Amino acid sequence: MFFKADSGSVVPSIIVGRWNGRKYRVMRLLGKGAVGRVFLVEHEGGRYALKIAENTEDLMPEIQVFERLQKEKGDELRQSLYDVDDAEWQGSLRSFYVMEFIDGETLHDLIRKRPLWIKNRAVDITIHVLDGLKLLHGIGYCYGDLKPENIMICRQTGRPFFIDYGGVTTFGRMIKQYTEDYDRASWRAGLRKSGAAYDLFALSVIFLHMRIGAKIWRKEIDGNRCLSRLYDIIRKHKQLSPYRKWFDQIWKGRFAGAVEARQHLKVLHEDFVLNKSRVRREQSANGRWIPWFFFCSCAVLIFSLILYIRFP
Amino acid sequence: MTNPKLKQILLITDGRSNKGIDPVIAAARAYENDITVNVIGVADRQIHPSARREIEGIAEAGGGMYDIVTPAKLSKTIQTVTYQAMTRTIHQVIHDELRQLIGTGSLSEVPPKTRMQIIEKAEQISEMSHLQILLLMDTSASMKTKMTALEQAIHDFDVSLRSRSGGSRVMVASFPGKLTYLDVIMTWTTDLSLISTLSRHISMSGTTPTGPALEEALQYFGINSASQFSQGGSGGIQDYVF
Repeated sequence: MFFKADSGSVVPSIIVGRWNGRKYRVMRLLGKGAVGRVFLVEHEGGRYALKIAENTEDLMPEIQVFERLQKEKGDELRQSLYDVDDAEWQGSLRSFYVMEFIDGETLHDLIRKRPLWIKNRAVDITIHVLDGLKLLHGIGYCYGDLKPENIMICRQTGRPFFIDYGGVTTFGRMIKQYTEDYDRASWRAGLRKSGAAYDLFALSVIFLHMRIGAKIWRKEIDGNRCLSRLYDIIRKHKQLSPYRKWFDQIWKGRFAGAVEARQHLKVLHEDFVLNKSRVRREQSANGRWIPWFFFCSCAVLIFSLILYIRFP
Repeated sequence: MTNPKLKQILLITDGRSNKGIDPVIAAARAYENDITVNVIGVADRQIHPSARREIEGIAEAGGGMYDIVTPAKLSKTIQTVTYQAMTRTIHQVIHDELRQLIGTGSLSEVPPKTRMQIIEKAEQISEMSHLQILLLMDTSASMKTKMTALEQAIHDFDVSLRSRSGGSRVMVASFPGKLTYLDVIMTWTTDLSLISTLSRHISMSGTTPTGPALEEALQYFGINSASQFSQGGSGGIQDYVF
C-alpha cells in the first residue's frame, strides 16, 4: 500500500513460466511501459516480446484486451499473443505475457529522425491506425492513451502497430491513463470518458504532430492548452489546410466512429492529391508557351538580321 | 460488495509541518477511520529531504500513495494518485475476501483465468464506487507561486470526476486557517467548477500546521477527531492490556 517507483532491479537471464512451464531466454530490454518492462526473449529458436510487471493487478486488464482481440478477424495493428504466465523474480511472483516481436521504431522516434518521410506518410499511417481503432471499438474498448510513443512502425512493412494496451478502457468508463498532449480533457474539448470520440481526438493531434514536425509542434503547444489554440495551428500551417475540415469534425465530435473518420480523411486526401496534380498540369500547360514564344522571336530576329546584312 | 463508498483526503503541500501534532499520527488516525490519506508534494526544485520523509511518512501511515512533482505535473498527479489509491483499497478488500474463501490473499495463487475475472470485477467496482474526497491544500506563503497551477489542476480533476460513472463528492479546504487550523473553501459538492480563486486564501503567518489541519479535516467526515483521539487512544491500550 505504498507508492513505489520502478526500481532498477537486476534482470534474470531465464524466465520460466510457473503454469505453462515455458522457458524464455532474455536477450535485451526493449522498453518500459507505464506498468512494466518489455524484453526481447528467445524460446525454441523464435524471438518474442515479453512484458512483465511488478504488480499482477496492473497487467491483467491488457492481457484481457489482448485475448479478446485474438478472437477478432482482421490483422489490424495487433500482435499475436503467445503465452500468459507467472514467473519467480527476486523472490516474488510476477505476471508476464509473451507476444509476437515486431521489429521497428516508434512513431515518436521517427517523427524526430525522419520528419519528411513521416510527413508524407501521415495520412497513410493515420488511416491504418483508424483501421486498428475500428477493430478495438468494435469489441467495446477505447485505446485510451493513444500517442506516438505507443505506435510502432514495422521496419519491413512500414505499417503501424499498437505496442501498449495498458490504457485500454471499456466504453463508458473513465480514462485513467493518458498523456496531456493528446488528451481531450486537457485541451478542454470534452470529458475524460472512454469512447470512440476520445481516441479520434488523440489521433487527430498525432496527425497534426506528424504533419508539422516535432520542432514546430513543441513551439506551438507550449503553455496553456485549449481548443482554440489547436484551431490556430491548423489555420496557420499550410501543410494542414487540406485537412482542416477533418480536424473540425473530430474536435466537434461529429464523427460516429473510426470508419467515418477514415472515409472522410481519405476523400479529403484524394481531393488534395488530385487538385495538386491538376494544378501542376495546368501550370505546366500554361507555362510552355513562354520558351516557344522566346524561341520563335529569336528565330525571327536572326532571320531579319540575315536579311538586313545580305540586302542592306 | 457493490458500489462501496471510498473516503480519501488528498493533502497538497510544499514543505514540512511546523506546528501542532505530528501529521503522521493524524494520518494514522484517519486511516483507522477508513479514510485513506494521499499526499502530493509540489516543488519547483528539489524538495528538502526532511519534507520528503514527512510526506512519505504521512502516506504510509494514511494507507495511501504519494508523489513529489513540479507544479506543471500537478494536474496529472492528482488523478494518478487518487485512482491508484482507490484501486489499492478495492484490491485490499478483494484480497481479504479471497483470504476467507481460499485461505490466501495473494492473487498469484489463483490461476490466470480466474484472476482475470477478479481484476475485471475490481475495475468495475472502482468505476461505480462512490468517492468522497477532501482536498486539503497548504496555502502557506511559499505556495503562492503554485496557486495558478493548483487552480488548473482542480478544474482538471473536476473533469475527471465527472467522467466517472460512480458518484463523487469533493470538498476543498486550506490551511493554515484564519480562525481554526483550516478554512473551508468549498464544502461537499458534486460540482467543483464553481470554485473561486485560491490565491486570496494565501496566508502570510509562516506556520504550516499540517497535523492539526489533517485532524480537523476528519470532522468533515463525521469523525470527532480530538475527543476520539484521547478516548480512542486510551481505550485501545485498555483493550490491549486487559
